[in-house]
Amino acid sequence: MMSNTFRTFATLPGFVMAGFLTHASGATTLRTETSASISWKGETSLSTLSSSSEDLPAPEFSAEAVVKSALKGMSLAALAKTAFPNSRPMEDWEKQATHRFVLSHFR
Amino acid sequence: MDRELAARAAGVIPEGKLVRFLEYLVRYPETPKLADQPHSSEERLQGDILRDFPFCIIDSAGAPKTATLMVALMNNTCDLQPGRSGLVNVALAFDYREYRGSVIAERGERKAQGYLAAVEQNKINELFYVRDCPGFPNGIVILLDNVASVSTDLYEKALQDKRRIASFTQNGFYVFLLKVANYFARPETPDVDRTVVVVAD
Repeated sequence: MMSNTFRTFATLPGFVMAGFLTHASGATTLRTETSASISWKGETSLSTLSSSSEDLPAPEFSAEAVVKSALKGMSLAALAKTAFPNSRPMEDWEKQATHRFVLSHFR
Repeated sequence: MDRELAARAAGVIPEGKLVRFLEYLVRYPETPKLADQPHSSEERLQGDILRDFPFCIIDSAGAPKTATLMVALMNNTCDLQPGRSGLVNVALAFDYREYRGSVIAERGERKAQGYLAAVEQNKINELFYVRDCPGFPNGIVILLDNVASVSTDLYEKALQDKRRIASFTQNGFYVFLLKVANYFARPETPDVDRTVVVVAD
């Protein structure tokens, strides 16, 4: 059975921590937690928290949608790579020659 | 990843236009037709080429330098609509014949040969070579690494003065997007490590 997990993305002064809570259902909500004794890094079970938490409004996205969207963006770059497989950055002399050419047009 | 798989996953190419673009990619660059006359019913399109457009750079002394040159519109089409934004972003563009002549004058024909061939095959990340731009028998070259923001009022005036000289074809526009993605979204070199932050004293 999946358990709820809390992934820290920020630790603020006064031991206030904020993170994404991923429910067993896969939904994600943003939460803050306070703790005077526990030092966190990465992912931990909610059952280890030492103090109460206060829910913030849930962010308007699902982790799944973010991942899907990111993959589409990467695919555009991947398509560019397949369309221009041997494309390369300018060499220094090419860059400098182009720069001088551009500058020659400006007052 | 093959072209079809990448194109289908890219998201920016609608399903209805995908097959034609894939056919185009297979033949590219032999039958390019990237650009054509300015679109007659769509007055504001991303990638449109404008002539005699103001452009500004800041020199090493911090002083602005201006020139009136050919540019390509970098903004998304929806951001070019009236009242949407106070600035448009444009990339410099030049007659390829002029650019080619400058490179040869500086480097010599023999040494410049390999580079210019790469430019013409669109194998240079920073440049987008458009072979079939109306009014330029040798094509134009768009410098994707030379971009400036210019008042929308000047864009409106350019439209009134009929200074649009070309629009990308449907497939040409997708190639334009690929060139932009290839230049701006390419990976950093492997030696760059952003996970280690050293706090300055």
